[in-house]
Amino acid sequence: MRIKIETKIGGVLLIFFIELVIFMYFVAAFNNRYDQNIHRLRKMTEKLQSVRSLQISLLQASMPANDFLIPGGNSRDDQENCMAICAKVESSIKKIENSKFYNADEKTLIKHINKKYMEFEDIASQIFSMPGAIGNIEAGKLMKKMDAIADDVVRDAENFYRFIYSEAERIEAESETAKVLLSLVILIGILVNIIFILGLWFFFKHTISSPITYLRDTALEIAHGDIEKRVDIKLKDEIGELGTVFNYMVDALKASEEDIRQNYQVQEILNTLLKISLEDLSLEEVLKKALVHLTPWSKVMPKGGIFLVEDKPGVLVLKVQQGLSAEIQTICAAVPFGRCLCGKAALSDEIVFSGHIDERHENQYKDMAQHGHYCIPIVSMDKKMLGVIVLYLEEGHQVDDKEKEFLYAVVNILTGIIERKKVEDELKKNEAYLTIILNSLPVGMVIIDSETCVIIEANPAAVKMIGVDKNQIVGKPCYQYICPAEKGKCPVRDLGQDVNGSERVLLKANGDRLQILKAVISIILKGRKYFLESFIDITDRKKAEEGLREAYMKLKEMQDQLIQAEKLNAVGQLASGVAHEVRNPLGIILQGVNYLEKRISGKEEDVSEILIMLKDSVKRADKIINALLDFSRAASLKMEPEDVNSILETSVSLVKTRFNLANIDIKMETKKDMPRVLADKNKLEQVFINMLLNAAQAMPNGGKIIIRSCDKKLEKITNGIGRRENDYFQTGENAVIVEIEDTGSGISEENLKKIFDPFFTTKGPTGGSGLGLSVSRNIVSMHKGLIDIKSQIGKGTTVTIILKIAQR
Amino acid sequence: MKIKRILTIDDEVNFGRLIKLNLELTGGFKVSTATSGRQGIELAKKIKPDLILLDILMPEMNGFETLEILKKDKDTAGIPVVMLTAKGDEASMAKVKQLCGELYVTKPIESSELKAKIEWVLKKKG
Repeated sequence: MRIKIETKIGGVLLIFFIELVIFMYFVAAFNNRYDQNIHRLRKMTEKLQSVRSLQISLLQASMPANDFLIPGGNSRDDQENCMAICAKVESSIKKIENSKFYNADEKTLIKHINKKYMEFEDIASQIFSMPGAIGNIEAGKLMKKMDAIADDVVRDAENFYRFIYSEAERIEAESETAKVLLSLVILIGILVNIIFILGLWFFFKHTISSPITYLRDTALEIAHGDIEKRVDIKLKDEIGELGTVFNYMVDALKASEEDIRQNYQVQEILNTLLKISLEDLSLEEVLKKALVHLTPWSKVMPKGGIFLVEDKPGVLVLKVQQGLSAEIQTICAAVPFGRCLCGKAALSDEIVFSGHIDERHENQYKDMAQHGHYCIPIVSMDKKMLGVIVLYLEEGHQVDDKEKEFLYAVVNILTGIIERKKVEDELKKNEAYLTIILNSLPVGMVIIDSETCVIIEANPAAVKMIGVDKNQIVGKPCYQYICPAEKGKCPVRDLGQDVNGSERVLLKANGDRLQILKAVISIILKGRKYFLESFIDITDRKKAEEGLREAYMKLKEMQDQLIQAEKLNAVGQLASGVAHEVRNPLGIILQGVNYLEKRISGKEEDVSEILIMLKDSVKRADKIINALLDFSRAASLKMEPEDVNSILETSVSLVKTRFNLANIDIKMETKKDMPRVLADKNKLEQVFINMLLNAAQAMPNGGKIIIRSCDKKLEKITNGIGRRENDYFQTGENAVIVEIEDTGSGISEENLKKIFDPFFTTKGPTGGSGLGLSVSRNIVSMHKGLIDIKSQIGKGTTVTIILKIAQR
Repeated sequence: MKIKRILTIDDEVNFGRLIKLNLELTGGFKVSTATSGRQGIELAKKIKPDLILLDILMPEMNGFETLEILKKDKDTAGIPVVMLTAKGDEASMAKVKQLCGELYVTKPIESSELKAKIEWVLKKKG
């Protein structure tokens, strides 16, 4: 019968309570008895004291009685003394009589004593009332009587005391007994309680604590892995029930652990299959591996195979097997849809299960061992039958939904594997084509990781261009070869440049730089971004281009020269033609004028004046013709290394002799020992003379001309100096510089712009031909030199001529 | 002072005439004119002038050819020849020098200047 643990505890506590009550009862009872005895004893003591007091007062009273017999007594004091004692006796008797402690017998005794005492007192009063009692015989008799009464009373009192005393002794003895009994009861009670508490402790330990500890220990053992452990509690209470529940729980735990183990195994198999699916193996290798890892599944035998539908539709071909006999391998090499269990699975598109060999198992051989099967169809996403997995089972195996669930999961993975492998095979084929194309292209191609900038692939053309083994290229950062100037800054990724079609440099392994034409596109490979860079070697093309450019430049230069020469030639031809045709009539006119001058000399002023005008016009026309001829003659220069200073000196002396420069101060500030210039002396002379004459003409009222010469390095880039195509001088080139400065009227800014234009003149119709500066510039240009004029109105003009130094 | 005979050879008839007028007007010269090289050579041989003024650009025989013939012919080789021409290029001047022409003067020229140059050449030739 099951007893609740609270009932047990209640019962035990009730018994303990009853025991306590009994114990208390006994203690109280014995204590009460003891108290009573004590009370009685105290009463008895009081009684004894009262009786003793009476006895003493009686003895005291009896003493004076004797005193009466002593001669000379009976004094007043004695009398009073006696009276006091008597009062004492009376008080004692009264006290005893009034005390409730005395029983009837005792009260009778005291009454008797009182009676006798009254007699005594009576005699005493008689005696005291007798004058001169001493010596009085009567009195003597009375005294003797009184004495006898006194003795009697004292005796009675003595007896009374003894009686009371014996009573007191009895009560004291009883009281002692009660005391001992009380102590005994308490002792026994304590012992009984100790035993009882021990019993309680034992009870709790046995019924609560020990089972709980046992439960805890067992739980710990189970927690530590001893799943087989069970609790053995025979108690029929809650703890017993707890044990049962605990065992049930452990059973459930064990079952669930088994479940987990099964699931774990299933999950492990699935994980392994997933891992295998990622391996870079052929389809057959992957399927074989998958099968090998599937058959350790505890529900099946380590036997099975995987069929695939190949080129022939409707037929399963055994691709991989595990532990199959040679006979069955032969029989099941190709199974048409619908035949045997596997064929039926392929046809029905559902898992076919059999617990033993039955009529559906058409493919059999003699003495085939009993077994069951799971045949699971492998169906693609687009519902295409890919194949069947066949697994062997122990005979009598029961079909299980969970197992089917697992098998569907397996098949899902296998479907993925098969489909992916097929795609991969296709891709590999394409990749092979692509590789052939890439490898045969004469274009260098590299694939670069967009994040790390590392080259991950390079085709043979790229390898050849870089000029080092492929393994020295792959794995290296792109800027080592591809973008040598862009280290750390990818022009495409970081600078956002469009480099397609741009001309770049490829750094070869030997340090040479290869001119390339590049294109870059972003591609995604396996989810990662890469750059596909393709480039062609354009070194030859660049060289050809450069050659072409140089040739073009030369040609252009030559053409320019030719054009210039042709122009000059044409002008020259025209000029010489015109010169002849014009000079002849001019000659006639001049001769005519000369003749007329002589004929009319001094007679007609008007005519003379007109003749002078005619003569001037003829000279002017002749001057223009001469200038035109000069202009054309510049084409033919006789270049020799010349000393500029000596040309300058000649020019100055020629100007001085030919023209009147009396009021002009010419100052030479030339540098000594200058390098020679390549020049046509006469032409350069003509230029200097032109400049000097212009300077002189700008100072009609006199002034100063400063001629400077020096050689120096040209630093400042200006018109004609620099690294441009048309620059005559390179920056940093040494050149000879001539400056002719005047303090003349200067040239306005507007005129300065036109100053080199042919036929531009500020000298008026009679002044210049307007060709002087134009011719001068032409001559300087023919010398590959530069001429520049700077001027400020009212301050003067400076002409600077820069000439090439003759190469030794 | 002995009058100097001057022969002008110039296809410009008017120019020759004016030279003649101007030079003869100064009093020291007797001028004959020819209008072509051939005519000039013939005349030179015939009259043996003291100096010949020769144009270059002429039809048929130009001044250079005429000069060459004159200077090669022993009859005329000693006669100083002043080229009086509208052609003023250096190449022509060089050629004249090479052909032993005495002076090269370009048109237009003032008669006084021409006279001075003729006198200078005559003086030089002595």
